Amino acid sequence: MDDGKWLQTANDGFQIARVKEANDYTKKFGLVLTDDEASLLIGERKDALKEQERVEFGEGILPKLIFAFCDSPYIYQDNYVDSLGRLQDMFYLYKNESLDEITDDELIEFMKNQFDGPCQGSLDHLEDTGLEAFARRIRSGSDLYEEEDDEF
Amino acid sequence: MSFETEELMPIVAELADKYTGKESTSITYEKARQLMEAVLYCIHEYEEDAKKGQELLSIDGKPVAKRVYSLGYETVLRNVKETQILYNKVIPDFKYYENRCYYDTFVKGIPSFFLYYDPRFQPQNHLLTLDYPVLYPVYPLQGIDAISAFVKCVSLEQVFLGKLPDEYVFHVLRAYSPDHGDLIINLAGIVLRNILGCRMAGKRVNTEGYTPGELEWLTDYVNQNNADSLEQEMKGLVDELIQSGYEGLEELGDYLKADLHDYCFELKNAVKNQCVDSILAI
Repeated sequence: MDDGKWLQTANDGFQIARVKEANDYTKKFGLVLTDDEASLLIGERKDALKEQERVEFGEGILPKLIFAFCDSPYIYQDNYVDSLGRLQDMFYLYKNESLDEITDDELIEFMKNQFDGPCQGSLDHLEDTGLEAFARRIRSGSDLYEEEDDEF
Repeated sequence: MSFETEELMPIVAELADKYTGKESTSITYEKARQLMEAVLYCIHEYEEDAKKGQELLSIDGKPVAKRVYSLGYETVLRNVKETQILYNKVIPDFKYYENRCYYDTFVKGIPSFFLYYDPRFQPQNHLLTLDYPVLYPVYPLQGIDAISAFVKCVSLEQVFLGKLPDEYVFHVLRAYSPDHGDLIINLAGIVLRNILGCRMAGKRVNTEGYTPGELEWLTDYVNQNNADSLEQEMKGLVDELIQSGYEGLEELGDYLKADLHDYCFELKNAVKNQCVDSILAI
């Protein structure tokens, strides 16, 4: 990453533009973010990073979350912004909880599978059971996708 | 040379990218702090190198952080290589005189350092506790600087001890403590103190103890001088020793002189309290 690119991606305007670019893809699922909503999510991202004591240098995780979750049957325009905010918070929390042993894509993939599968769209269930057990397995060095019989 | 945080952040960002293999957009504060320390360490290495004569590079009179960091990183790599070469030169003839700490630190520890040292993401961490106490304090140093200084010190000690008969070295170590093998002590310092003791007492450096006359001579010698003049006298004796036995190896002389300040006080106290045998192989 050259100096210019780093400065560019750290800029709020750039982040908001990147998030809004995703609208072109998500509108076919009936999901669109306004400027205010995009700003709100970027603001929440900063709070989440601060709370989880993490630093983000690139363009952020939000676009990846949007692309991963936009086709979920449990996400619709009314709960779109709230869900993205919660997912973003959960993502940073469980990056820490998994001791950074897994990549962003692996965590997002697991979150998506759980959200659409066992959790049936419940963010509380995803956070308190699916991700909790997943992080525990990562910390103990078990297989990433190994199922625990007593969890669900 | 000082840089603003804004100038260093792109370098940290680049390191973070390399560290995560671009598979994670964020890192913890702890990791970010470690990477920032790595950048600062490399810049410091460049500055130290620049003092040795490498020309300062600047564009419009202002050094570019990224370039300075890269040159510092190359300096770290070069120092690792040079230290490894020196270590490989010392290790075939390395003698540890049954001292476990000396053996463990140098024979077991240093190779592990070369195996696990991370010049890219953690050049400031030298991994080892460097338990063997060399005469130059290495604890203020970090990373390869600490290891390099330590290996240099040990190589000088090996030169010093290597020219003495093993029998004599073991004699003074046994006199120092029957448990000398288990103690965390500097061997060269103990041997040097005994050699200087012999010189001050006007006796030959050998495994035979001091006669009452030689002991009296030593006591008089110490009592005639205060701590400062005694230190000066001893520095002169070290210089003579280096000239006569070590082909004027100045670096070794400077190294051994690092112990003299403490030695003078200890010797004066020992004479005053009539317990010279706690320092010398009487």
